[in-house]
Amino acid sequence: MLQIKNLKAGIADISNTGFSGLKSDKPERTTKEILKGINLEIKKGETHAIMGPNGSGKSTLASVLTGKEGYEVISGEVLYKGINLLELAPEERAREGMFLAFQYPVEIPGVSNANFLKTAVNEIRKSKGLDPISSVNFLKMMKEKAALVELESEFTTRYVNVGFSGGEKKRNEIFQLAMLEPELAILDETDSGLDIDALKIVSSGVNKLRNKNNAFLVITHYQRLLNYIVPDFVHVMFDGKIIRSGDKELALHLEEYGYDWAKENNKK
Amino acid sequence: MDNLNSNIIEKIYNSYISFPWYPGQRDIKNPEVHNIRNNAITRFKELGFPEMKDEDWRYTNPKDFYKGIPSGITPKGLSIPTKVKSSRDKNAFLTPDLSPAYAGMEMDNIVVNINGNFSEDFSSLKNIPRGVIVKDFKKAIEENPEIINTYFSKLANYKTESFTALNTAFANCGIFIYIPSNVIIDKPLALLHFSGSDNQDVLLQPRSLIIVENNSTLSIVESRYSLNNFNSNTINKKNIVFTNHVSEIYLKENSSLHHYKEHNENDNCLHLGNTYVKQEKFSKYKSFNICWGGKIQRSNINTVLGGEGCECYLKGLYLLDGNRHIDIRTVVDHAVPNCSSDELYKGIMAGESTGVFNGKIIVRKDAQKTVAYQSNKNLLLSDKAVINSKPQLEIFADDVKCSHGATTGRLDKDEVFYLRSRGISKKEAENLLTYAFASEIITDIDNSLLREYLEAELHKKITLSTLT
Repeated sequence: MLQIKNLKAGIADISNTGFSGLKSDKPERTTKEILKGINLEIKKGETHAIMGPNGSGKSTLASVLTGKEGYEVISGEVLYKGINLLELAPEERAREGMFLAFQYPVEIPGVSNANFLKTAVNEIRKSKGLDPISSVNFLKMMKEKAALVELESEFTTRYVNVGFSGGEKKRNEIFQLAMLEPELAILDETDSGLDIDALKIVSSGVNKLRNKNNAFLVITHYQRLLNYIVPDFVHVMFDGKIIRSGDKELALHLEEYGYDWAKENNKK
Repeated sequence: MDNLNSNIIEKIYNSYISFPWYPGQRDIKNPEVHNIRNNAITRFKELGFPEMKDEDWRYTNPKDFYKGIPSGITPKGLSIPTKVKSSRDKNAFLTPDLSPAYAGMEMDNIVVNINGNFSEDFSSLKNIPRGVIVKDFKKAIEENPEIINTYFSKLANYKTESFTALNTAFANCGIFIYIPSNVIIDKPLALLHFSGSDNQDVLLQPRSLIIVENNSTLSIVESRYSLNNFNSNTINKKNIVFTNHVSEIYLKENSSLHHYKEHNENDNCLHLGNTYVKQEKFSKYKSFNICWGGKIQRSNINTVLGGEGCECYLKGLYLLDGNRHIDIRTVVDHAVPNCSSDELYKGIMAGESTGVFNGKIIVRKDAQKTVAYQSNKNLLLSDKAVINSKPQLEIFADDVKCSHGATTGRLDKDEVFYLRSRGISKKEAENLLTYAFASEIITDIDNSLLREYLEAELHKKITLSTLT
């Protein structure tokens, strides 16, 4: 489903300020390399976890895969369902079935969850040549999926993430995932900021959505999440590269010995 | 004063003295009104038109308004075009979208003004409670002299405001509304202004006088549209309609007025509106000023909170594209203790549009325990749009709660990306966020039918326009 081949990418860095802080005439456009050659293959029905210390490039990978502005690919390629993913706009990636559960979901005052999701569902349907969903079916679907992550139905009329607790924001991400039924879902540190109860709710929501036709890429610092969302593969990322891959046991080793162990082990 | 300025003033003065109502030329039914007109024209001649060097006109060129004032201006407004008058299907000239909107509101009372003339044909006043007066201002001058002479021009400052002086000198047509004590009018009264000309530039100078007596409630929806299919029929020439409007509003003790204004004119319209409001004890004024039409618009709202316990809400939304220009000016004058005011204006600026927001709160020395808030927020959708925002507080009392502020920004990139990552196109994401920004003003409207109409209109403006 997803093949990442020797991907090098980074943040577009426009350094146009001299020491005086004034704009110089010709802004220099450089890219600060963060991903230094990533190789990864994800097949249908699989769940992969990427672990790594702060600054190793995990979130950059998620941003590059979903097409966030400000990131630039230096070299390498990413094939998604055989398509060159990097040529697609973020919305096209979503319509092709990609989904990112954000580490920091943004608040959008003035846009209700229901309106937001209805627009999203219909835009995706439109891209597949389907008619807009009926209001009755949409409401039914919302109710059903909200129950997966134990969200109260009143939240649908609230503005997107506005006034939500950290836990509610993350549950909302998984709720959206359930609504949009993606083929490849990337969870970017979905466990950060969650207490143990919320973690269980979120994980159980994800587990109910796993099936043989979709795939998950779970990005996390901690092994804890992987007790609940059990991965088929674990990759350790360090300094922009995957330095080690294994099964779920690898995560336990990491938890016990720390990332230094992975680094040293890699050198051997 | 430059040449153009003095030439036009001379022309206007000559027009004035040639009217039949000039002293000695005709029996005068209401001499007091005539005295005021005479004082106003004299004062106008002294003042002249303002210039850009005046602090109040730094960002709006007054010449853009007055340079096209035609010779031979009249106090009659422009007569209803024969095309409209003789048409069998009268509504064809009114904006088509309008009728369902107002029909939906089930308004009993609709006043239609065409080119400044109160149109008996189009208006319908089905449900006017006893004692309530809704009529053409010029009729009121003759028929209700006792009320007119108590209130006319007692609030509107023609001594210093030259455009107000000009309007006052020619005050004749317009609207007069009088609500006696203890009358609650549930459904809004619609005031629909249509303008358009197919053969000449025009200056319209309507006058409004609204008095809500003790314990009475009124709600007004005042909308401005262009006569449909009008200017587009005229080849190669677009006739400018400049409306110089003055409203005086008196709110007596414990009265309430909801004042909704919508500007939806086409690009041939220039509008300059001066609204003066005086509030007495425990009265409530709630103003919604929605501006999404017209080429150049200046909207002045002056409210005096003159009795304890007054509440004043000024809410506004402007949405501009192309090279439209708007200038919003508000003064909230807390003259006595224990009053509250809350002001929020939001603006969406696209294309090469330009705008000015100038809000002032004055808290007088005696006005202790005043609560006053003011905020102006702008969303710029293009690199070329410009907004000059100047919120001001002048506080002379020491026990008050006041705040003011202004923000100007662009759409948040992270929000746009969040929406796009869910499959929503960039354009649709930007539209959704723009709508969300603006809707804060409209969701605050109590009347649900009016709110729905404005929401639909806002949606249409955002999706159909070339805003980004």
